[in-house]
Amino acid sequence: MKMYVCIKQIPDPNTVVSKLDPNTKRLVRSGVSLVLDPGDESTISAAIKLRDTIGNSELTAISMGPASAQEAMRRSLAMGVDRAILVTDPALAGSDALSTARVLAAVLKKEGADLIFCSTESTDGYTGMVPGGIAECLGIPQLTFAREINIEGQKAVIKRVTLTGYQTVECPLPAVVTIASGSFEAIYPTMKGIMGAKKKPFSQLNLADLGIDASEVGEAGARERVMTIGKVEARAAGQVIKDEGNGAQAIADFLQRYQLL
Amino acid sequence: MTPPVISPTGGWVGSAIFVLVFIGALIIFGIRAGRLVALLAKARPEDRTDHIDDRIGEFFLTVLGQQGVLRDPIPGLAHFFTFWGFVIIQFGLLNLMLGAFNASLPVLGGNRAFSIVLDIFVILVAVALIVFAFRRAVVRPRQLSSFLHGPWDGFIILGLILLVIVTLSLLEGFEYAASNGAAWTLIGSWIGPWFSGLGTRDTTILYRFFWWAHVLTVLYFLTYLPRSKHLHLMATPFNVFFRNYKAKGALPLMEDLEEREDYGVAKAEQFTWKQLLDGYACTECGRCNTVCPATNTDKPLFPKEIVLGVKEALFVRSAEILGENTLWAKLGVAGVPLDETAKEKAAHHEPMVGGIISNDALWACTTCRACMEICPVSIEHVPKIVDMRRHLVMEESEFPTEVTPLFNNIERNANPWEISNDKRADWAEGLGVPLMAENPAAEVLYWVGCMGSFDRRNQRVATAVVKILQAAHVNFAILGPEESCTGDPARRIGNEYLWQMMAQQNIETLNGYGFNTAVDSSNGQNGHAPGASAEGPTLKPRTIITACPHCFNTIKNEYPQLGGNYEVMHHTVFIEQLLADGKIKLPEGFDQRKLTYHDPCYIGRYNDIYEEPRRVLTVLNSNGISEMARNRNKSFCCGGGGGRAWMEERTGKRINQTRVNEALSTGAEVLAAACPFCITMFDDGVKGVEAEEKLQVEDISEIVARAIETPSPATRLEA
Amino acid sequence: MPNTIWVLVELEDGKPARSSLEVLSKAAQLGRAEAIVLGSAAAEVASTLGEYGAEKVYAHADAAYDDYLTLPAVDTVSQLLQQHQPALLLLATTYDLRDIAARLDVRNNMGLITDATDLQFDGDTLLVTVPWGGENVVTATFPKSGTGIVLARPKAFSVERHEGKTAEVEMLNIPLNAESQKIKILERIEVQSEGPALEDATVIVSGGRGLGKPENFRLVEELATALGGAAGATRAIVDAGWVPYSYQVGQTGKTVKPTLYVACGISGAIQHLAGMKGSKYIVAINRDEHAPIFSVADFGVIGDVLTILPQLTAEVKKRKAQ
Repeated sequence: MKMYVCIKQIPDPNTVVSKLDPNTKRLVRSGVSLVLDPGDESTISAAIKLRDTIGNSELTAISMGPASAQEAMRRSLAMGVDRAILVTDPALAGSDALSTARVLAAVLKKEGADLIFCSTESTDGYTGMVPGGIAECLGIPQLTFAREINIEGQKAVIKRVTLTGYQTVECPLPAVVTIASGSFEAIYPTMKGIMGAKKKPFSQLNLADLGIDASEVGEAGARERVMTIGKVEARAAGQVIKDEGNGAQAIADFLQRYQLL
Repeated sequence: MTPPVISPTGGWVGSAIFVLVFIGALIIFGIRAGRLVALLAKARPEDRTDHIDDRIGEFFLTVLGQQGVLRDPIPGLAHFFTFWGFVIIQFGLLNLMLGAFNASLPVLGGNRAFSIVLDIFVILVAVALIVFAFRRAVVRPRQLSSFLHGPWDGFIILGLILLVIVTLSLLEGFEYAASNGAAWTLIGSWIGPWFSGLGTRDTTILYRFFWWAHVLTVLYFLTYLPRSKHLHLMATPFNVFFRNYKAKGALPLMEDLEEREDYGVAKAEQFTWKQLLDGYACTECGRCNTVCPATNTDKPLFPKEIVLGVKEALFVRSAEILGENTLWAKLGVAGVPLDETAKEKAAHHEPMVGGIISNDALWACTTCRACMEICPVSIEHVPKIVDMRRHLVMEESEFPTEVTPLFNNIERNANPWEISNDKRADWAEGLGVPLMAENPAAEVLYWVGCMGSFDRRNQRVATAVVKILQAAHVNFAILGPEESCTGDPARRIGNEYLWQMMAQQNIETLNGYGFNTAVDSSNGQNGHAPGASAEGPTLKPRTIITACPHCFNTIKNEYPQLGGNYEVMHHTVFIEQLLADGKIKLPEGFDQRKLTYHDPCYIGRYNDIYEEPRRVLTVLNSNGISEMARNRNKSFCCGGGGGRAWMEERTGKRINQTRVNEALSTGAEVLAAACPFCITMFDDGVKGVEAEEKLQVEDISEIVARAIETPSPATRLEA
Repeated sequence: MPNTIWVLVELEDGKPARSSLEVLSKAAQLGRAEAIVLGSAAAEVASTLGEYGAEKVYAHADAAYDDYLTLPAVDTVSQLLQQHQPALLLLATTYDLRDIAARLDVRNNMGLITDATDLQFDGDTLLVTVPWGGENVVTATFPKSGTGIVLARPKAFSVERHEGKTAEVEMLNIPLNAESQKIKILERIEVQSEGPALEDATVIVSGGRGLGKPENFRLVEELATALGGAAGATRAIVDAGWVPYSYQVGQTGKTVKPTLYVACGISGAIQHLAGMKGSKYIVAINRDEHAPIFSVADFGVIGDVLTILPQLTAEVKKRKAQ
């Protein structure tokens, strides 16, 4: 089976508060450490596990991003992915979910994918709109929020997380499957994996290779625009008060203010 | 050459039979022992011929002087006499065997003094046997249980030794009787008269019978040795001779990470020959189990079983290791008991890691070195455990899940937590602490470490260290964000790759500031960073101090493996030196609370720093230290070493609480520590046993800093 | 003419989901609210949506929407979009609606903004408020013409009900494409539990040694229940045997990232902080004003946890009941 996993390099979510550049209104990516999205680590692990279970399959990682994203892709290869494809093009900067979905779908279409894994959402943007977008572009169904996945004949069957439990959902292949965060233990690369990753096939594509017009994607193609950037009000770094009988009230007020009740 | 009074074989036929039996026994022994040597030859190479003079000296002390075993006095003395009794009995035996050819040993043969010494030792061995048998049968210390050779091996050996001395005594008695006292021996002269009623013919026959019995027992013993735990008789002298003479705190470097075929040890033959020799040398005394913090808190780790597990794994695979077409295979005789039942086969042919030795046992180790410290025969348990952990981490990616974020954080953030390393110097804000980048000429680099930099509790220790340095007018600086985790926890968990990555990064930084003592001073790198060269080069090597024994150990003992040679001091030693040099003055008896001191493994057992911290504490507290039962090199680990601080302790009693209870039992109000991990573990331990009101955990530097800050009459006078 | 805002109303057991009603109420404030409701219960539900601000309801009563996820709904909404051009399609952020939104965006080339906490029209220009990364808040819009999609954060708006108000209901009668009946729900499993598991909880109330004695952990559990969350603990009290290991939050133990973390009598050792500092909002109650937990808390109260906890539990219950 031809399996794919769409991954993303993001600023380390554990150390960095993502910042938006007020001028370009994009994510600031310089000066912070960039890592493979931790959610993707879990998704990649789910895909590897399934690949090894069904056998006779190849797993390819696909990403769209700057050339530096190679490192995140290398990590996926070290974890056990078989090969990697990076779509990189200056015109892609500032792409929205729709453009991203179109670009990734163009690659997947060329490749002839049977099963496509995505994380439910990225850990930096949280929109969660790309996987469904890819499925729509390819005209195939999507199975989302999977915490378990099996292949039964020509169907994919998942356990789909819900608020109160789960649903068992199936659809015919080819399909897009999104993995709920934390459902699969991330594989820590072995030395053999790390060393072997350097020898695995790694290809780069640009927009011309995919036959996509630069005006449809990136900043130019974006259907949303950031107008202003402001500071969040009042989440002043740790307001601490002394309890003078009003402590409980004050906490309840705080909870109410942030809609936490 | 004094021929025996009566020929023990009674003629050439008997002598010829003896020669055949003797040669046969030697051949069997040779095959069995040779096979063991052949196995070592198949193992990985390792050079253990450095410090040859010291090796010879220590060999005599440990083997002939029995220095190691004597640390445990009762079984130690018994062993001492058995050992020397055995050596002397061998000479007696040689003498007896030469009797078959009407000859004897030069000098010793027919020497009455020798025969008296021999018999005295026979009596002492008999006494020792009673002690051993009593221990095995009645006391039955847990550490003596053996899963490799079964419970009877110990008794078989005791029985054989008993047979050796009984047959010797009887042959002497009958010889005495048969010769009418002409063949005088001490024991013979005591028991010989009992048999005088039997007549010369009978006593001569019985004398010959027991001569044969004695000789055959000893020869059987010889062939039995290579497959019993008494293999140690042969292997120990070599094991002691080839013991590690490099820094105790340095784990072996894994070379050529990029090109290697394997990472760590999964199969016995991947160990070095010395690691395997350890197994041969193990006497199964179990002292390691008695001191192990894991064993003592009901974890699945028994250091002895690690050593014996490796030995078992080696033996069950010996045919495969040696190859099918070797002499050993063709002869079909092994120094290794063959598996007889299917069950035995199944049990023995499990993989070594994860089978014979469980992963849980490997993960339970705190690398505290107590086992290695107490081992009388210089066995190296910890490197074996780390070698197998390396396999699990780097080849199998199989380790406690809570370790994954540790690895990722060290790799990405250069500290064990999800904190940006940019914030490393935040704790020092407002304390007037310069960064190396601001003060490249600093004489002392204070290596703060991750705990001191990020952990609130240990930031107080870092602050105390700063106050002391400032009070002593030391020209110092910290690295701040340029400092990275030393990699110590990663290395001890088995992630050698990550350790090397961190070490190289730190070495580069330290060399950049000219701390490397091995760098040629002519290039201006020694003493000062290039930026400070205007002041002229100083040849005096500059010092790195740290309050973390783990940082201290790995920088001092392990960074040299990658070319980083530094003058590193633990802060307690530095403080003691400041005191001795009069750079700081402490009001004597400043803190008279009852205190006890915990020796951290990584400055104590690994680096022999026991007295400096105590000297500082005794200045501060004139009542001295109420020592815990286990102190100095017997100190009981806090439970945080070897990466254990980042793993969950799911089974058994808590190690930290066990140690806190020991501190409480001294009646101390203060548990003085000198390691951030110990402090963290004990703070948790004190909370765990709910003793916050009774016992406070403090770093030595904190007490010193308080003493400096509190003006005493003496310091006020000086001012 | 007011801008028309469409709301796709999700059904739960044949009733409109609360999250959809929140969004519908907001739509009614913004302009002319129109609802779309799909599923076997669509007809019954459609007639009630007027009370929540809908002026018109498109309803399609077909069980295929209940059994097959995403695709039938995307087909129908896309067809409606070909006939009408509302200014905005406003959706609550739920599992099912997210899936639908992603496909609608691509199929109709729409533009999409997620995680909105507020919206307003400046003339014809829609301004959407989106919190970004904890520190920033962004205002975004759709620069191109055509309908845009906005997914609103749950609980961002309150439900407003105008009893007796009715909406014009248009029952759709369109054949569903069999090709779109691909993503089939085979079974629905409700997992019975007293509260959410620690890892999944959006609210966690944790206790530490500051509680004094094991019996007082009850106070933590009571607040957790009142907030609809799970109870957690520090390593110290797990070690002391007050609660089982499964409660432990920390570097060893569980790493949690709830929306709200209430630390009660917890000093904030790094080993604990490592496991919870990813929480969105942190509230701390501790007697020691120097406790490190206050340095990560969004809101802290210096005081006796044993006094404050019961008061807070009572207050939370009171306000939730309102």
